[in-house]
Amino acid sequence: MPTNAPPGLPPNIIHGAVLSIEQLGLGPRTAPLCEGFDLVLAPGELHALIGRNGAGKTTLLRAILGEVEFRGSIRRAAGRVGSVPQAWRFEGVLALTVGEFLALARQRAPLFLGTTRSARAAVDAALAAVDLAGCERRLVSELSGGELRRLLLAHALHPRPALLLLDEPTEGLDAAALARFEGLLRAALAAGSAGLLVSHDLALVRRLATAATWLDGGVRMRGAPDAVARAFAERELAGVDGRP
Amino acid sequence: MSELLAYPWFVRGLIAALLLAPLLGTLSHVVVARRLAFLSTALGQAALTGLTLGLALGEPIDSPYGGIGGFCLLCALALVWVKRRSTLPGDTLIGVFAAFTLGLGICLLVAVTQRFNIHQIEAVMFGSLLTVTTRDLVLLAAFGVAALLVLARRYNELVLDSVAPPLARAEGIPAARLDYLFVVLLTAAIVVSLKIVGALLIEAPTNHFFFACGSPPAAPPAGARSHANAASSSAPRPARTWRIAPIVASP
Repeated sequence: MPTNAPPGLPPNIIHGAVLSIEQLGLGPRTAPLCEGFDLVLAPGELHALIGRNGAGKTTLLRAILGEVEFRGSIRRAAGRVGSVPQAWRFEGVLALTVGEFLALARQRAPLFLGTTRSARAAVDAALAAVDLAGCERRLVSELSGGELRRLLLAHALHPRPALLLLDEPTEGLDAAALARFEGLLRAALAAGSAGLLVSHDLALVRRLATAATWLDGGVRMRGAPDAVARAFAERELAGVDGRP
Repeated sequence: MSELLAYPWFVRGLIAALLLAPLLGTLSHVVVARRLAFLSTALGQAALTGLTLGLALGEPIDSPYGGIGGFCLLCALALVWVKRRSTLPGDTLIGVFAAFTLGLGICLLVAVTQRFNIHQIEAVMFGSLLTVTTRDLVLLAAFGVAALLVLARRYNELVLDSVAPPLARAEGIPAARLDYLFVVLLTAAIVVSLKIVGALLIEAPTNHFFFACGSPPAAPPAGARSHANAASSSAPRPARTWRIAPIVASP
């Protein structure tokens, strides 16, 4: 099983790694989504996971968050985790404003007492970074799909997380928001964050990722993003539209 | 009005209502946000079973807190335990629990009414604001303060876990602990308010209290400076939403 662990590193010990996954198995043993998956993620690395629908990419991210059962071991270094989930729609049972929504994780005082000064400053900074400045008084339930995506990015990227879990983070973003997201992500990586990126946008994977894994019932291929993305595209497009 | 205040039963009833309002108001919108409205209904029915169980075991009918509290807590904890291990939707599981507890309660009721006057049991089932004792008020006040302190400490986590579970997991918020904590709080709130509201009507204040007193204000209070209040004036709201309005002005 290929792994990006440094040579000579004991497989069960994290040395400065943000995330260490060993012999991960997902899904039922009789029909596993993925088996024997290893990964060591160091600060500054962005590892892309690509593959067909149902290959287990999202399930892998959910396993890291403890949302699904898994076999093997997943260990995270201390620090904040920023997550952009793939399919999340805000259900407007509570009429939360954008500012209140972000303040939930940025202040200890209960929100029914109001937003604290420090949380408001953090919210303003997070919203400005994704070009949503001035939207803190809008209801989350009234945001468009692209705006909601930017809100999730604001939540994930501010304050800077140790680990980023990005599941189709650019879905619904316009060109300007996409460029801004890429800049923010590069800045976070340069500052020492590490991330896992799930995306079907192979051009994005080539531009941003430092390494990539093609998942297909396990690790089909791992290496430089260019090579993995090219191999995946060739395999996937074979036979489509009369291609050989 | 001042004449009414001369009657101790009226004053006690008024104090009970004033104690219940902030407690159930704070709990009710979290109940709805966490999709536990049906659970409140089921717990009301479980309270009936708990009442009859308590009476059958020799509990006095004027303070049936042991039977009601014990059985409701057992049901609530069992339900959360099963829900966390099942792939069935929560309302399906609650429906099974509700049917079981109501059936058991009615069977026991038939046996218990042979020893008690049915009107005594009716008083517990439908509640009465006018029969509140000083002991009930002390219990309500003590629990209300304790519950509001716990809620204040965990409120933001509860709301984030309710509206965005994936983000709550990423923030390290313990979902299981919050699930159990909240149903324990809800059960205790139901037990202490049961004598006033009634076992069969308890679902109304715990589920829909906010429709009566917490619906979105038409305009923000004058002078309020928070995001929340300022937002009230800017955009139309969905019809069935709960507004978290700060009760004090933000700094």
